[in-house]
Amino acid sequence: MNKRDRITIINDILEFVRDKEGKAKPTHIMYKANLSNEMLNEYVRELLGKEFIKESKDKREKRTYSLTDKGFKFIAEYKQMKGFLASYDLI
Amino acid sequence: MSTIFLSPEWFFGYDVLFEAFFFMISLITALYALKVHRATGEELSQYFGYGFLLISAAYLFQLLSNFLVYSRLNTEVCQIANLSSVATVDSIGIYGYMLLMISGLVLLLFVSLKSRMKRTLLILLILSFILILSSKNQLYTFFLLSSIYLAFIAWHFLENYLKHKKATTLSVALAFLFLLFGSFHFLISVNHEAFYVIGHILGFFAYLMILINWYLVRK
Repeated sequence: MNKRDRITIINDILEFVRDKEGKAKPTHIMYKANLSNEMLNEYVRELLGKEFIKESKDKREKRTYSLTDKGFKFIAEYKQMKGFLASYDLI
Repeated sequence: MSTIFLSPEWFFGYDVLFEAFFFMISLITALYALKVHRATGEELSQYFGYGFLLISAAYLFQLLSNFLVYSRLNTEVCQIANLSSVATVDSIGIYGYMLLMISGLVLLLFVSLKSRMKRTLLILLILSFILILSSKNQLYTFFLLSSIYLAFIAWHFLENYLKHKKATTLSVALAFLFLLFGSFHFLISVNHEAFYVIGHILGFFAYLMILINWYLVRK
């Protein structure tokens, strides 16, 4: 598969946010997930909407993200969901 | 016209059990696909989920219709709903089954075509409904259309298996091949009672394969 599918991108972002333990900054996510600024904003909005991540501000008032319980649950179920999608060629 | 007329007497009741099994598996598949869509936003997963939801509703119609006939409750339903005859209750069952099933298959075909054009879906649905409802032999037209759609869907999943040789992709390809044989068998069958039983057995193997795939992806 040449193009990364949505489920892989979401999982990459969430795993990065998890590993940064509440200190993930938008620019770091953008580089780590290899996304354009526009795409990053779209995904961040979506993940905030789905309550997979939550936003907070650091000491310098910069935006940071941390994983919610729903986000941890997504990572735990990622392989199953991807396996399901792949078995029916839905990605 | 009702499925009951196709069923041999000794098979009464067993078919309802088979249909309950088909209903459960297709409903679980639909709900999981919709859950994955909600989590990931994958559009195809949504269409696939709605497709299986319609198929599960078709089985629910079929099993309720058959159950009403076997339990002789259809006479009471008829009186409560103020319907003219028992045949009306049975017709609602079989028409409900055919239209829901063909709609579900159209959605799965749409997913397998990987088309994002909603107009393709709409035209397939409209044509399928017109062909079935305007046909003189509606059951035959329904099985003919189902066989054509299932042939394309099975072909797609067979290609997917050849691209990704895994137990999961194989079980999905086999499931749709069983469903195809079950549907196609009606077109060449001279003994529709035998078809009814064989169709249910092939359906059982198809949904068993879907259940195996469900187990494999979740383990």
